[in-house]
Amino acid sequence: MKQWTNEDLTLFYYDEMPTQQRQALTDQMANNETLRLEYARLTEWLDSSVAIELPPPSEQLNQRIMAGIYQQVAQDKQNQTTNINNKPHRFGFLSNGSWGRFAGTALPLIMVVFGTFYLGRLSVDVEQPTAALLPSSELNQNVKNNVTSPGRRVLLSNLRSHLQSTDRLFTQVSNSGAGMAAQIEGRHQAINDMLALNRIYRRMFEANGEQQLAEVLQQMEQVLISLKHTSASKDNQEWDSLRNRIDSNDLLFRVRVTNRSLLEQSI
Amino acid sequence: MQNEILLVQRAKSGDLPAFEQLVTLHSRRTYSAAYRILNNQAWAEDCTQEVFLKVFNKIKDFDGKSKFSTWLYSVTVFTALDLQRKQSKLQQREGGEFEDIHACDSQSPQQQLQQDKLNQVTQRALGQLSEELRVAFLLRHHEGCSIKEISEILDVNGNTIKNRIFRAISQLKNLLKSKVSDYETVD
Repeated sequence: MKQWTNEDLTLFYYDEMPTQQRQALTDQMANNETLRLEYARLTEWLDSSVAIELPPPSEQLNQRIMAGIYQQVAQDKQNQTTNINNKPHRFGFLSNGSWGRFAGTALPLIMVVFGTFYLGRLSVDVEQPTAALLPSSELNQNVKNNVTSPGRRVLLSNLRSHLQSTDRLFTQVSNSGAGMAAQIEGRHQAINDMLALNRIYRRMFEANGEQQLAEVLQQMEQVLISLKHTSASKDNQEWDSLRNRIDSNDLLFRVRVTNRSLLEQSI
Repeated sequence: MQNEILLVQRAKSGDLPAFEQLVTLHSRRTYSAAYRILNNQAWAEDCTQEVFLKVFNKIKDFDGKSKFSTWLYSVTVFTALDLQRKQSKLQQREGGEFEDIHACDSQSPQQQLQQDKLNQVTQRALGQLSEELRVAFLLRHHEGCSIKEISEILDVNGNTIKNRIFRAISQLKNLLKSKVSDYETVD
């Protein structure tokens, strides 16, 4: 007859024993009181003594996890845009800060050399071209603006296309009839994507301190969340309340005004 | 299960709502595993956040050979252990600032009683086990992972895991015997 050890009993308890061995141990326990008692003691100890109470996590844990992820996605997007702008090209040296520094020092030097040359040759006063009179800091600023604006333009143009598609969706909802619920049900994936994108933009503009834009996006997000959770079974009253939310906040109007002002900025 | 595979595939292609569903499905278990190791709610929550951020960044590399939950556990265990090492270094540097969180044998039995009673006694005993014994035991006993899963999570041979669990139980029995008898004497 096999002598069962504590290890065997532990494996039995955790259901980690091969079936044949398990059967043998069960049979033996049925006839052996000492073994049965030993197993009961082990079970009791493992069930009660080693128990640890687990405090529940805070309710916002999932939201916090996702907020961190959205923040990272937004940051990655921003970095991507910056990388596209900083992508080296044939005339790459013209679009970075070194050109500004180069121009700032080289142009006045060239002008001084040429100026001296002509002064010496013609012995008359020569008026220097205005470009050379630009202080180097101003020149740097101009270059800097040119570098940052394409990134901003890409961002704004992406945001505009997001606003346009959301505008279309909200218009549909706002003018919807009885069949809208079924239509929305079929577009859940698109709405999910819109919501994800909206969150990214909102966080980005919040982080940039552009509160007005972030606020519009926040309002859009709330409606998108409601739409995400709609189903064909939603009753008319709920649809009316959703439509009212779009209409009462002048959300469509605000989306369109924001879109127009973004268009003006990007021009 | 099928649903989870689909969710992972969608998350791999950058689908954020799919990843959000994975978070909803697994955050509680991740938190629980982290808590068992760190024994502190706030740290366990921080750890859970860090784990999902890591998973999000590396999900494209997940080859699907093991279960997603096994991979997640693996990330959780190593992140939690890493956090714990950092915390104990900080604890050493800052003196007794975090003393209430881990074993405090210097406390009188009376104070010990006033705290979280047997629950804390167990936590302290667990805290006295070596890292490898504790993790193997916690994953088997509290998280319900099979020995095969634990061996995949920790990338250690199954027999080694079995031995670690046996040693953990034996050491815990000894540790708890003295602690519980202290507790009972006071009671």
